[in-house]
Amino acid sequence: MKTTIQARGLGKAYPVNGKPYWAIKDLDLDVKEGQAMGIIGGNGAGKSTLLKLFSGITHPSEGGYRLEGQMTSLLEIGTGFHPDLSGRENIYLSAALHGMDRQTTAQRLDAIVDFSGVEAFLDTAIKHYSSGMKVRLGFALAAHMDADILLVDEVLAVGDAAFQAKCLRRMESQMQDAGRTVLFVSHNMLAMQSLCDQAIWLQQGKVHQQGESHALASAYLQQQLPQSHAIDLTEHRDRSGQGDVRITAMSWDRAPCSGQSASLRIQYNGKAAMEQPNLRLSLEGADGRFLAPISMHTSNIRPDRLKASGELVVHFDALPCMAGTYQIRARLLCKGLVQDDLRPAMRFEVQEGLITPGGDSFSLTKNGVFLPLTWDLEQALDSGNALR
Amino acid sequence: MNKPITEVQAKDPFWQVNQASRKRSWQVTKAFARRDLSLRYVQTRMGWLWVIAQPLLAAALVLLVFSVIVKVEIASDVPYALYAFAALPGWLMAQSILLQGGPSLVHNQHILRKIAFPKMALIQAKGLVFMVDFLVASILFIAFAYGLYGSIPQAPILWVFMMAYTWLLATGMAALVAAWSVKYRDLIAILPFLAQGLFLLTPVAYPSTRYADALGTWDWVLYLNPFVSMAEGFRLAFFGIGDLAELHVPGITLSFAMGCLLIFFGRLALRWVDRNLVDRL
Repeated sequence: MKTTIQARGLGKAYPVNGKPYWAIKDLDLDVKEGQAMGIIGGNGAGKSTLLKLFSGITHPSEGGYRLEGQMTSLLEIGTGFHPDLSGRENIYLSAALHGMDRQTTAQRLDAIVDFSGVEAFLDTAIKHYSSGMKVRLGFALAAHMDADILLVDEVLAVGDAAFQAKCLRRMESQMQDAGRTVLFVSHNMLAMQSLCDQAIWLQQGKVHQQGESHALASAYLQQQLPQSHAIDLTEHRDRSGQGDVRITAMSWDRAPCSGQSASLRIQYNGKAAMEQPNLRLSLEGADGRFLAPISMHTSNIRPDRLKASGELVVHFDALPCMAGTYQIRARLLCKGLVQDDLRPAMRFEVQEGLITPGGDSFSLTKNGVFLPLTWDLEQALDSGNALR
Repeated sequence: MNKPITEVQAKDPFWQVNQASRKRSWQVTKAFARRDLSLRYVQTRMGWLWVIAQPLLAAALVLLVFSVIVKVEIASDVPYALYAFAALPGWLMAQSILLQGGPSLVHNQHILRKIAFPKMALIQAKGLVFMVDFLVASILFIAFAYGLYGSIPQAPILWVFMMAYTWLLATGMAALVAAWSVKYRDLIAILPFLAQGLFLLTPVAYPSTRYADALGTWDWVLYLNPFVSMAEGFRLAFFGIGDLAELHVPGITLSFAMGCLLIFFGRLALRWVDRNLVDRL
C-alpha cells in the first residue's frame, strides 16, 4: 500500500522567552493509504502542532514531510463562520476556505443541510442559532468535504453525544468507501478507538509509542493513573482522627471513564481488628463542592468485625460521573469514632465516555453525577401518540 | 487519477512556501469578498445607498475645502470640480483598501490559525469590495462631468490602466502593512493618520506642480509618493494630454517607479512572513 503521509526528522520550534521551545522534535511518521491514525498524548505533547504542520498552517523548523493526495483539515468546527451571515452563506464561505468550489458546494447543499437538521433556519443569521445548531452545521459541512487526507483535531469534543455518534458513523463509512487517510486527534479514547485502527502516542514532541489503537489507548490511560493518584496517603499530613487505623492507599483499578465499570480500592492498616467499622467517602468536585455520598452504612453494609489490615473495594457497574476532575474525602470510623479523616484523600480525572442511553452527556464544561431515575410522560402525551 | 503531491521541507525558500494554485487563491478571494460585501451594510438604515452617498460626501468635502476655503488655482482651463474629482474615485478606493486590508491579518487571525490559505486573498477580497465602490463612484463622476459640462473621458484605455495600477498599488501597500503587523501592530495604530497624510500630500485636488512652488529643487521628495502618478494619471485619462498645461514628467515617472516597487515588495513581504505568521500573530 502507498504511503500518503510521510514525515522525516520533522521539528517545530516556537520562540518562548527568546529560546526555542520544540513542540515537535525529530518526528518520523508513515501513514498508509486508507489508514486511520489516532494521535494521543497529554497537553503540550505536540498533537495539535503536528496537524498544523501537515495542514500548512505553520512551517516546520526542521526536516519535512510529504503528502500524497488532496488534504483537508478540520481543526475546528465551523471555521470562518460569521455570526451576521445566514446558515447558507456560512456554508459557502467555510466550504470555500476548506477548498471546496462553489459548484460542488451547491450540489451538496441539500445533503449538508439535511445532515445538520437546520433546514428551517437556513436563511437566518447564525448568531440566532443555538450553539448546538452551529456545531451541527459545521460538522455537516465537514462530513461532506472530499479529500484523500483528512486531518481532524478534537472536533468531536463539541456537540451532543447523539450527534457525535452520527458524525463518527459518517466518518467511518466515508473512510471505508473512499479509502481516505485520516489523522485523528482526540482526548476521547472511545471515539479514537472506534474510528482508528492504529495510533501514535506523542510525548514531548516525539513518538513515544506506536501501535494498535486499543492497546495504545489502554496503555495511555494506565499511564495517566499515577498522575491522578499523586497523593501518598501514608505520608499524608492533612488528616485527623484517633489514628488506630489509617487508610494507606486509594486507587482505581483502571482509568475511570464515564459509564464504564470501575473499582475503587481502599487499603487500610491498623493495630487491631476494626469493630463496627464504617467507611464514608464524599465524592466532591475539583473545587471541593459535595456531590455524592459513598458509605458502607448507606449501602447497608454493616459488618461487626474486619481484619486489622486489608482492602475494601467499591465497585461501579457504570460510573455515573460526568467527565471531569473529582476528589474524594475519606473517613474511616470504628464504633462511630473517627479513626482517620483525609481531605482530600485522592483526586482523579474521569475520562469522557458514552454514558447515557440517550447519548446526551448534558454538558462538557460542568461536572457532576448522573442520578438513577425514570421518566413518566403519561400526562403529557397526546392520546394515540405512543412514546417511541 | 494523479493525486497532488505536497512536499514541505524546513529549508524551502520562502517564496515557495504555501504556494497555492491560482484557482484556490481566486476561490478564497471570492469567498472573502462575498462575505465582506454581505456584511458591509448589515444593520445600517441606508444600506447600499451608502455606496452612492460616500463618494458624494467625499466630493462635497473636497470642493468645500479646496475650492471654497483654500481656493486652489489650476493652470489649465478645465472646470475645477472636474479637475478635483477625476482622481477622487481612485484615491477613495486606495484609501479604503489600505485602511481595511492592512489590518485584515490581525482581524482574521482566528481563521488563519485553523485553515491554511493564501494570505493575499484576504487583502485582494477587500480590493474587490472597494473596486465595486470605485466603479460606482466613477459612473457618478462621468455622469456628473457629462451632465454639467458635456465632457467625456479622453483616454479610456489609460483610465483602465490607472485603475489597475491603483488597485495593485493599494493591495501591495496593504500587504506590506499586513506583513509588518504580524509582529508589530504599530503601523495599524497609525494607519488612519498615514492615510490622511497621504491624502493631503497627494495632488488629488491640486496640481503636483505646486510641489516645485513650495520646495523648489527638493520637490522630488514629494514625488516619491506613488499616488502622485495615480492622481495625474487619472486626470490625463479624463482630460487628455492637450488640456493639461504642465506636467512634471520626471517626477511622475519617479512616483510610478515607487509604485511598482511597492506593488512588488508588498506582496513579497507577505510571502516572507507567511512561514511563521501564525506563531507570531
